[in-house]
Amino acid sequence: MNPEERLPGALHAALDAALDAARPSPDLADRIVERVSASGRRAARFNSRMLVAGMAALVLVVALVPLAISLRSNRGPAIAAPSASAASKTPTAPAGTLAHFDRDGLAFDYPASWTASVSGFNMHYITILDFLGTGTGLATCTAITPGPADQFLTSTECGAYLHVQPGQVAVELSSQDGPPHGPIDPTNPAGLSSGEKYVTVGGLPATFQDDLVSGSGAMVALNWTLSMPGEIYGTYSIHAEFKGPGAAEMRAQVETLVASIRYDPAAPS
Amino acid sequence: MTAVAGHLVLAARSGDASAFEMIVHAETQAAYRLALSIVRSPAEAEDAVQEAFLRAWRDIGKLREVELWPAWFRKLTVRSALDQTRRRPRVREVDLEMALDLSGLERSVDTADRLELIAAFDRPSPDDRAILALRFYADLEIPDAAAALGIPLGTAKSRLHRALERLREQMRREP
Repeated sequence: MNPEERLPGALHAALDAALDAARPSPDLADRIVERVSASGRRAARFNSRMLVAGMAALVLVVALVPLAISLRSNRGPAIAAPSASAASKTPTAPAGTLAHFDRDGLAFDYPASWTASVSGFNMHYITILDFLGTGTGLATCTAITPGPADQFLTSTECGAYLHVQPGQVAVELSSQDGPPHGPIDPTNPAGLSSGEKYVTVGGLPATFQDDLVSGSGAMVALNWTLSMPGEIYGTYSIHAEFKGPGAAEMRAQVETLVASIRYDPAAPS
Repeated sequence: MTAVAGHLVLAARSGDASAFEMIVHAETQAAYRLALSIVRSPAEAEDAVQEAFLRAWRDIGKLREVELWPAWFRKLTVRSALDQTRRRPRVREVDLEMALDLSGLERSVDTADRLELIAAFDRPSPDDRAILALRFYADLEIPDAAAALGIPLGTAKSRLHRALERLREQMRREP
């Protein structure tokens, strides 16, 4: 067979035949589940399955009455919590000057030209403390009504999202409490996910991940998970996203923010 | 990736560990095969799949639409597989054909051709293997393969072209 004719059709067939016969270890999925169970998670979400639909629905309505009501067209009635946007009203400051954040046991400096919005949005074990930056942050909760084919009862889905346009940066600051969050143990190699490394922030152990989200080089995401002084099962999370142009400057701004972090109570020296 | 039910992804995204466990069981085999097409040993493929799922569990909250799960998880798998090839010293490489259970294949001429192709496929760089595997094993169109690799479309096209050229050259030299 002429190699010119074999490729790529023959390569397709060869790979299909060979790889379709490949089998992972029988216990691979179980091992993965075990590792997943033992791992932390940046953004666990509140999910309340309502086994007693009527009673739980009543609780949900009472809890969310003050919140804005919206509809998610393909999922039935939806209830949205107030969103927090970094594009809130903050006076524009000269470049280079700093504003100061000091709340919820955490203090740091950030560019005064950034907008900031107090969120305080509680997602059950996770509280969004603030969105900062020139981009947009959004936190919502949505009540999801299942369709006829769905195999779940009513549930609530909460999430926080960042949105950046080219040349924008957005930072999501949150706190987590309760297992599996914390403690961060730099002596435990298994405590890291792929791409993460241990660092020190404010004198305490932390993890850091430099994560290129988009292959075009336009979007970069940086993640820090910080220890929470005095809490065994508690962490802070700083998640930053930015998109060039100006990516280097925005990265420097975020890294300067993290370098300025101090805890209250202070980290033991 | 397999067609995981949207409600499972939705539940997992909301923090439902049991839903994610079901996804793991549904996706492991397909993810393993994709990873194995990029790395050079079953052990590395299994490590890559584990890392992909760990990242998925950690970051699934950022998945805006459940319909994006297949492409998103495929990207995580490819990246984890490429990480494996770059991270680890190749102390004990195993040819792809040796890693696969070929005992049931008839030793026909076609099979010999297949083995020759697979052997040739085992020689490219990990980046070449990845683009070839995504295009000719995962059946992705080039834009989707580019997205899975996190590279621009033009780069994917030129990389695929060069990878095929190198494969052809390899097979000419070793008929």
